[in-house]
Amino acid sequence: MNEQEYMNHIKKQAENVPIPDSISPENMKKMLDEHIASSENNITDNENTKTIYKKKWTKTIVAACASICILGGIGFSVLGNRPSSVKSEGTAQNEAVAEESADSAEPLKGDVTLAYQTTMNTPASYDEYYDTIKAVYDDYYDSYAEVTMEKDSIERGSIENEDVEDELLRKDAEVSSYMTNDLAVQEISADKEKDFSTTNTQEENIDEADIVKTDGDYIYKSGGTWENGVYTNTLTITKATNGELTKESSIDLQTCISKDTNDYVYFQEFYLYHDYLILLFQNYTEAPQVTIVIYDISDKTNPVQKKVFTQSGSYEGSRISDGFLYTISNFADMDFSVKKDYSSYIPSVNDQLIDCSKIYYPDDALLDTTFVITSLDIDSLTITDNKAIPANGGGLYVSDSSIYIYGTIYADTTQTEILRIAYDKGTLSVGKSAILTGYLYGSFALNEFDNHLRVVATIPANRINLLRTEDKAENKADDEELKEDINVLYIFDETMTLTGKISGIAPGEQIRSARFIGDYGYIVTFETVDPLFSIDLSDPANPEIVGRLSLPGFSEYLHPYGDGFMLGIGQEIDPDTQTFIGLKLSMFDIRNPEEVTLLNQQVIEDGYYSPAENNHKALMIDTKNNIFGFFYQEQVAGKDYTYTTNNYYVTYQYDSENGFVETGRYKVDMESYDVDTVRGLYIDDYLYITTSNSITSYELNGTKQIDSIKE
Amino acid sequence: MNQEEITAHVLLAKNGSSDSFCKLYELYYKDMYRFAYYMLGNETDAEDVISETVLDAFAGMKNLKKPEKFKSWLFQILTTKCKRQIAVYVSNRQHLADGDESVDVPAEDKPYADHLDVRNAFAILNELERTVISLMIIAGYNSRETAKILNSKEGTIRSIKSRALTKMSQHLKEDFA
Repeated sequence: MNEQEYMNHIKKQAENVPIPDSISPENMKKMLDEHIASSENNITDNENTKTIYKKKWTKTIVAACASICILGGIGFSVLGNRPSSVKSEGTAQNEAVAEESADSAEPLKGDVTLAYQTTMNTPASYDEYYDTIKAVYDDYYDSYAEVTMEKDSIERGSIENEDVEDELLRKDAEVSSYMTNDLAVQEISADKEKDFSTTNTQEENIDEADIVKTDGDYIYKSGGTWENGVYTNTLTITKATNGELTKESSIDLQTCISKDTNDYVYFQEFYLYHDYLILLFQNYTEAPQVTIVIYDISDKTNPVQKKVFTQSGSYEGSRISDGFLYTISNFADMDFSVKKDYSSYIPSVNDQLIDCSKIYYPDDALLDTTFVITSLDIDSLTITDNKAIPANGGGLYVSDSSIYIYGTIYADTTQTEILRIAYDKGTLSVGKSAILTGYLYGSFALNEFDNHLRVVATIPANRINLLRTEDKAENKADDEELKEDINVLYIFDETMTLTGKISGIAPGEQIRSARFIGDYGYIVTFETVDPLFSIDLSDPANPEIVGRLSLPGFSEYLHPYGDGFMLGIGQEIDPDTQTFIGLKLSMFDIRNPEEVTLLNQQVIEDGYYSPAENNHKALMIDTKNNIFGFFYQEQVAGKDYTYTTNNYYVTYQYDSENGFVETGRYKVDMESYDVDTVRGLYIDDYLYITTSNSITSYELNGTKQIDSIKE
Repeated sequence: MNQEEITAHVLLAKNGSSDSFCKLYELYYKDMYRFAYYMLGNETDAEDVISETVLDAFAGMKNLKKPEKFKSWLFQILTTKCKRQIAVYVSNRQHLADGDESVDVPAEDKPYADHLDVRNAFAILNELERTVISLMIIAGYNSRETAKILNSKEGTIRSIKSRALTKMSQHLKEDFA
């Protein structure tokens, strides 16, 4: 869980607190009216003039209300609910206008607030950037200051620092001193016959970093050990030959970028790309920065550090596509107190401020943080492009032509902003962003296909008043009372313009998983049963729900399994008692999306947690060779409410005759806090299970242990 | 309710309409209650500060210059009230004051006690951390707005938030285990 997801999680739980009736709007109105009545008794003078003034005001406002309704479209529901005092005083003419607008309004056109766009601007100079943004901030935040206690306004005086400017000039003149000797990049190793698993990625051709990788001959694994109170974080290269493990070398993940052991260095994850290991770090010098370290591993016994890149901000994510590494960081500590101290509000790449022409800010110039995106040509080891762009949150989805950054906005309605950045051979072009109502359950809620972005979102209860459209129009009076979550599918074109949507999917339930396969999308929602919806997306203007299959329990992860089948990994829930039964595997036949059927399912009783449910990289899957595997924990109830926890790695294959066949179950010996770092991979007939400090090998389709090494 | 309608109701409420005021209140009262509940850790005091806030806010409507700032203004009054109440706890050495004591949840209530888990997680935070988390998660402000409301620096707010979330996650993890 990242910080954003964790905040969502807390918010969700926090919403369960019962709201006492004593503070309901009705009771508060009673309290206020009593209060007004008691204080009015004390007023004797001015009574008449006051009332007249009041009447005048309300009339003007009624007129204002009516005109809003005509323009806004969605406003009409409010007219029906406007204060009774206003209604009684409104003129007949206003009433008529209101009625008319309510009747003629087309709800679909009205809800423009569902998704709207912001456009981006680029400053001509850092100073202009400073002035624009600072002015908008001061204006916006002064209104907060107005209502805060008066005191602090005095200490606003800025500390101008002339030295800072000199410092900056000096920095500009410095040329970064990186090693530049080129090594020819070798082709991928010759023996192609080997079968082995790779990191399970959302998009087939887009690589994602992880903590373990293999090329079929060697296992590359990052991890750490505690020894005598000292934590050592290393990346080891281990030769794996028919299950035999030989450690070749290791890289110390602290000292490889900082000799000072007190420096904050957090290794994140890495890539294996031909003969390079690409390591991603989060470290802190004066401010947080991301460090990318490239190792040449053509000699496995002696990895050689080849090049280092840095960019400002905290690491948010990365992908490799078509030979380019795209890295996204969040430059959150923008400080506008000193104008000439550019580096306090302009992010840097390789210690050079990002050029003005590559800095973007939105129309309203209100930005909380700036995201830095770099593209790195891995063959030539050069940064080909970079951008600084405002965005909300650090969710990341990358298709084969675009990078999408998304995040939740906690406004009066829960919204998600999605920004599109197109890429082509390392060149980035910043597109528009769209804001939609609802939150996304994860990156699998997004998918780009045929130049259209499809997104599924859940709108949490209490915040959906504005969204009830055609399907519930007749129950308008009840709208304000709706207490249910609701789900929506949106489709955007490449300009992030909404082309179509389906609202009102599965009221009262939340999206648990989604997967888009070509022209069809499949979503699983959950409340009491597990409906699997199939949605026809072939016409981006008219998406349509074409099928629905209801089952107990739910799937947390969906994966296409060969042509026309889909695997679901989730939980089995007793529909009557709502109690958790165990982990569940489901195989769906999706050859006819209008009539999806459940072919088989397998419940792992007592299996109560698998990291594969919410981290797709924890799942080993190779559908071509019909094998998948994952780690899970089993809890067996003993006497007197005691539980024993067992850790297993389990592998499966699937065939239509026998359904799910468990091909191996391996007991994993490990520390319980490390469950999320367990990975499995296979090379030919051998399975390798890695934990943060060990690799153990087994015969595939058997449980015989071959070898094991500890760090 | 869109911004224009909110503005219209604010103008009416400024002019003394309790009806309009309560229409606005209806938009935010659940979040207000949750905010107060997690700040103070008990229902009764949360209800009290809400009532006080409503009375003060209604009486003070004329001081609200920008109608679009109604929500943050309301929360500012509420934050001040909660802080005062916490000060009372401190002087009475009551629970939750320094976050060193947490509320006990009977074991049999556990499966249904999500919000109590969260309340306990709030209870381990110190006052500043609790205020920051409540403003950001429950009331939905970003770090810059939170900094402004609390007269603090944005970077400070961010590090307080991260520290608080780490604390809470450790606490909630124990609860789930």
